Amino acid sequence: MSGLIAAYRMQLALAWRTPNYWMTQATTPVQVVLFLSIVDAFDRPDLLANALLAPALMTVWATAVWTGGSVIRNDRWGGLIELHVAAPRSYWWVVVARVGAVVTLSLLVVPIAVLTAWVTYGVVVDVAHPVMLAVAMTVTAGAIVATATVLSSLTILSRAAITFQNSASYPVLLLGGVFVPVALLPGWAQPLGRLVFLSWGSDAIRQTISEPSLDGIAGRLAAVVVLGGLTLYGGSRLVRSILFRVRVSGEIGVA
Amino acid sequence: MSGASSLPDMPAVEVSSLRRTFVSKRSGDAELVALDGVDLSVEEGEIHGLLGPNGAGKTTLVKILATILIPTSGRAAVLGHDVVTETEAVRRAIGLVFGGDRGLYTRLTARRNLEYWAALYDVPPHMTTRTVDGLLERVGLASRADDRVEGFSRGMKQRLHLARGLVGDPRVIFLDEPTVGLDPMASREFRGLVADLKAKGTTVFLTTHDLAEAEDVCDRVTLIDRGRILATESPATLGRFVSDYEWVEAREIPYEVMRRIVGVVGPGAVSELPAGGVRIQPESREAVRSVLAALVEGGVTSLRTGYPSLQEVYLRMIGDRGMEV
Repeated sequence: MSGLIAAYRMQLALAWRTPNYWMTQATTPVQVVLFLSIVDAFDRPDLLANALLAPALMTVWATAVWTGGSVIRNDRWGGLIELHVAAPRSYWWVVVARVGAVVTLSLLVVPIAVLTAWVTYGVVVDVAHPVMLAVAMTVTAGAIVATATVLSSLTILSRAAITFQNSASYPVLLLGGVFVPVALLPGWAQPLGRLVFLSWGSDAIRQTISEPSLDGIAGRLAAVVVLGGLTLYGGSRLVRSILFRVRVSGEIGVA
Repeated sequence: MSGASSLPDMPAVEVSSLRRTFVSKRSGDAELVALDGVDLSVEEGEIHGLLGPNGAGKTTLVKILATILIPTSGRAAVLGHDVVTETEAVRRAIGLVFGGDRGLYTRLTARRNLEYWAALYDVPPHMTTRTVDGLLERVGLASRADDRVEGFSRGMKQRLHLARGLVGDPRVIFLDEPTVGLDPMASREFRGLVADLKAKGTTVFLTTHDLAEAEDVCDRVTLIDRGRILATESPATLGRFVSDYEWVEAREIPYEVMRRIVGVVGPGAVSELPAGGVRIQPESREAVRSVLAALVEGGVTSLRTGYPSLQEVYLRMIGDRGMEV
């Protein structure tokens, strides 16, 4: 556990000193204004939760995939990945902790989004279930960490994986119900969306913000935990396999 | 707090019939042989140098021993633990240091770098501060502990590399070209640190192409070229290995005596010295005696004998390939 905590703390310190880490967050207020302007133009205050959730989750996801993904890329380019492989601690869990640190920082977008709504449109967000919102955000963020770590691990195999990450992001966000709830997607897309943990997470988060009842939220959160857990387990097996493969091929330190 | 246990009476490093090949995509999937049937044994507490030109296979061997690469065939073990099947035990027992600027989180302080690696090497949290402070003191970076690494000189980074490699209190440490790019003063300091490790009983496996360094710090040196071991001996023995034979240097040799000597050793064994005089390198002890007899009988009084330096051994065994790899 101390190794994971150290990895988490190290990445927080590294992120704090690296301006690039904050670029994704910097776009959030602009996106909030964009979404709120649509809500305002069509006079749909009932969509406020969507207008805030979409840019916030987009930022958390983008930070996890891009900035979190750079954990492995930078280690490789910096000649550090071989040192990690030769260390007793599992590199997979170290990367999970470090991506977790990046995602934790990215959660700052939630107050940023709320503040932007208040400053630009005078909207005061009244969260129906604040404690459950925190739980839903935490669980969803955890599953994002698992997924982003798996995606970033693919960059060990090929630099083309970066393009894959880029291509995969929008479908995941769309099927994950980040822009609109999965229930509003075309019928054929809804089953696909339900395979994406983010669809359950975003539904749960919206529910805690704007719906008076918490009916069904336990099931939604359980779905996030199960899908995220499967990703975490599968990812650890995948990374072990990838690392073995590059130890055989000799491409482990190739940047 | 030293890491893994070793099996009884096992060498620190044992390599047998080790072969490692790479597939070169640039050369149409041609197989490149990095190590070709390497056998090597390093005792615990020994400082062992692996000496060879670029591309000889030094780093490949270190990476296999450090569990970063998997051998194509053959076996390698550290403290009796197989590097392929017992990676966890090997990783707990070793430290690894690569030369150069890479391998550090340059935006972080020296202390933060070491704290991170201490955790990854299972240093107990209550020991971390003491361990890190001790290492920073040991490598002379205590006064810069809280400065970012990006502002460090190359020598300071290399010292931090060494501290990082020692953070898990390894029983065997692999140093891959640890003094590359260091100025002479920093290299000398580094040698002092290696001497400290030896005093503590740590096994040091050092790759280098710095002959003076190998001669200075190593108990034994292995010469490697094109993936094959040429010889493993003490630096002094290696010197005698090529020339069992001493060399003879002399000045003011009369023409007739010189002719007689060339007749004994052949013209290729005689070379002019920049400062005047000649060096004669006979091929046998018998020839040395003949040369000395010829010189003394010829009235030559300005002469001396000696053994070749490691550099001469290196050049003789590996050949004068210059930068060719």
